[in-house]
Amino acid sequence: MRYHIHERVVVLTVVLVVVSGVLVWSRPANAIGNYNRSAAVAYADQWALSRNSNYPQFGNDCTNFASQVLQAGGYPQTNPGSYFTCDPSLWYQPFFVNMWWYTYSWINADCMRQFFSNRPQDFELYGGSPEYLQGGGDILQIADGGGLTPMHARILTGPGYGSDGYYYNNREDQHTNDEYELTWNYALDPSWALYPWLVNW
Amino acid sequence: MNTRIHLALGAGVLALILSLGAAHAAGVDPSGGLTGPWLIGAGTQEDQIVSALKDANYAKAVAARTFDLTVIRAHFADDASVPLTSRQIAELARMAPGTSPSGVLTYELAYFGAWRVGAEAFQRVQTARRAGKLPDPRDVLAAIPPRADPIRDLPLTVHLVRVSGDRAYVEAETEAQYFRVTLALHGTQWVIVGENNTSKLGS
Repeated sequence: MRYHIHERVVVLTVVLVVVSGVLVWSRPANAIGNYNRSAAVAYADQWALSRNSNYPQFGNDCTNFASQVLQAGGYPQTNPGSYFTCDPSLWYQPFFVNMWWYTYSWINADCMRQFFSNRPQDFELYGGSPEYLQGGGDILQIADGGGLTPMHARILTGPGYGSDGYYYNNREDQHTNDEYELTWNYALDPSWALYPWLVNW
Repeated sequence: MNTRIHLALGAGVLALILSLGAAHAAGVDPSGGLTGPWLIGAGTQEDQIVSALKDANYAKAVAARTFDLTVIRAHFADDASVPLTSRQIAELARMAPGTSPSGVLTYELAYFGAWRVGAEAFQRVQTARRAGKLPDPRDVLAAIPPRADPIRDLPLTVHLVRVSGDRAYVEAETEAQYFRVTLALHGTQWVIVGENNTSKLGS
């Protein structure tokens, strides 16, 4: 009797290991649904008006903040390669030898755009009005520098009420001029190019 | 005694109201002009100039959604006496390599022309995605969606309108940016011949 119980436990364990292995193996590396939007939004809201000392800090901090939010949502940093470059295949920022090392895709809006463009399975430009983007943790890049190059980034945090008490389809957090729960189009000129990125990871 | 005090206070308040009213009627800003929008002159010509600036901004908003360049040509012009800023020259070289930096019309045409090319790439990306395919990476990199949100009227606060013959200079701001704009009178219409705008967003 005791032998049978042990046998069943062993068989069950083997079955569980095989099934879970098959599930993990069969899941595409970039399957939609890995991004933890709640965690991303929670991070954005927590740090919208302050700085997290676990990350480098900059005067123009908008893209650095967007990167932190992506990471808070679980988006993995790439493997290390060259530092302080705009390589569209790289996005990471380790701290070692007593200093921050990072790729420009972590801190620069246009380099982040190039990184997103290089991963179309994970990031998708949205074609409708950003008013209807409701995925918390998505990113809105803004070309406010006179040309078509994105210079600024905001984090979409989801639908809700603006500071004026009215309901808006989207709120946003941002760094540089630190803002918490802006209405989505606050201070957006109607002729600037916008890059609303859906995180499909 | 109390009656006298009340009468004195009442007279004082009345005098203050009358003096403010007189100042208002005379067009004098009682704050000394230190705050709020102001104009040098406040006549029809200044109104036309401010309207021209508003119309030009609206034309740009339309072009950002339709890429209709006729509306841009109607409100902007190149002018050899108003060179592009160094930043505009750099952006022009990026958007339309080899284009001579002739002026603000050339710049705006390059801006919306390059955006239209990006919008076409964006359409190809969308088409590929709808077909269940991964889009061409070159298209993804070049893609710029056209603006799809309704044109929102951002109130323009005018700080300065200075007119000299057929030239005008305007300083103004919206919620989004600061404007420093030069206009020229072409026939009966004021058109923009120079602009040096600054975003309020930071980066």
